[in-house]
Amino acid sequence: MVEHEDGKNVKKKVYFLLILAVGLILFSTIEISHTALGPSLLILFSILVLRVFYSLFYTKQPTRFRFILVIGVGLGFLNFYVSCLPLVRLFCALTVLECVRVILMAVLNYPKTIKQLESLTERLEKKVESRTAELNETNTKLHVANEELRELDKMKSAFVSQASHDLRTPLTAIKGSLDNLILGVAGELNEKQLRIMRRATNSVDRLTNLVNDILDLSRIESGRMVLEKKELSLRQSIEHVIHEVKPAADLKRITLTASGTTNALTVTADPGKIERVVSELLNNAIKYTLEGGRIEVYTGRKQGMIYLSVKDSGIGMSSEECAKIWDRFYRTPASQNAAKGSGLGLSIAKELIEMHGGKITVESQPGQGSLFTITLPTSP
Amino acid sequence: MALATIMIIDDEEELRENLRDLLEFKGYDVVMFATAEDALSQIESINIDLCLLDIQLPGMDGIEALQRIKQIRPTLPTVIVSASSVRGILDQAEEYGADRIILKPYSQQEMLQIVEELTGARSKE
Repeated sequence: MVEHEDGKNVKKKVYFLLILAVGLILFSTIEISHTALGPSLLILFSILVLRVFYSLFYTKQPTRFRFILVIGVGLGFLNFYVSCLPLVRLFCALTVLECVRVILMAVLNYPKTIKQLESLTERLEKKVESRTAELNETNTKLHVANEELRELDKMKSAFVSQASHDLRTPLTAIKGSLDNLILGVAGELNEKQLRIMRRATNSVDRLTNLVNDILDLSRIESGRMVLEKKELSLRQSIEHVIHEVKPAADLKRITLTASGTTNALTVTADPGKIERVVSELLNNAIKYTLEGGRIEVYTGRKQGMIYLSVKDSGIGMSSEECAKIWDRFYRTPASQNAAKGSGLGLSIAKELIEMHGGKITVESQPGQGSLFTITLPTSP
Repeated sequence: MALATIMIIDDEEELRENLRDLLEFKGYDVVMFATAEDALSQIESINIDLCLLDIQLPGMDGIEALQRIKQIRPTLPTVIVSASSVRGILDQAEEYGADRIILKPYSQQEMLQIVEELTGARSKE
């Protein structure tokens, strides 16, 4: 059996044996070996010497280590042998003989050992080669799979983009036809006909929003969503959005107010995207606020950041719902029952705000309304 | 007497017809073409006040058509209609002189408002 040890261990053993040899010389000089302790210590030394001899001569070690070892231990034992009792001398001689036998065996078996070593090295090399080849093959497979996944992802994005694009044309045609009827192109409609047409128009609008949301999400995912940043007055953006959503708030007699230090607040951001996020928050607030409720928009500056909050007196959410509302397609139980949406709006809002280096958070409790807060970096 | 003459270039028949119905109802004259090539072959012979041009057309696309139209009639107000909001294409349209860009799906009211603004006409109520 051939053992493998690294050079560091062998060096340690050689130093140990040299110390052992010096110890034996000193030991014999002070003649402790004549006492009862002598033989026991000698047996212990002999076992240690033999153990190291075996490991040294049956492993591939530099010759100088073996040489130093043989000389050191030989001298120690010789000195010890001369100064010891006959019985101890006999034991000593047997140990030395065994050492000699080990050396002889090692020398005689040297070619065989070398051959064994070479064959082992060869086998090991082959194994390493085969494992490396296996590893390379796995790597190649992984690379190919990765490329395929990337390609699939690209295809998916292209498909979503194309499908959304293709959906827009028939949507425009449907919307156009409905609008024409509502505008009286084919003659004045009565109240009932108008109601029916408006229901159809609302559905087309929902479908349009869904298509737009999916397209935006696909752009964000594929990194094709580009921000067109410019110096932006937050006040103007808020006013613009409030103007747009006010009719919906009025329908539910919801009081919609904006306050805070909006005048001085400018951010470097994409106006369209910021307005989209604010619009999402306000539309959500309107959806989940009961008739006669209240929605307040606050803006201000805090710790070098600009914040915009939308607080409503709506139905609120549990903490579990708050944690999930940013997930794609997640819809709160209340939204499934009452309001209609794609379940993508808040997810997109979060992505858009994060693309601006900002954050969006929510605090809410059931029955206590919700508070959404956007934090954006100030203009440099 | 018509308020103005509007040229519609769109390969989607439904969209063309919808716009024609609306614009004629509001007092405009409408000429329609399914391809840019057809429209360009007649643009000099018709007195038009506004062009509504789809960006995705078979054969010559809307961007190239816009360039040609602006070469022939530099002052003709042109509205680009696009189903794609890809910035590069829209930037190109602006660069070549599109007066407005409207994204699909647009509402008829939006389109009517743009037509009124660019022709300076007041549609019939």
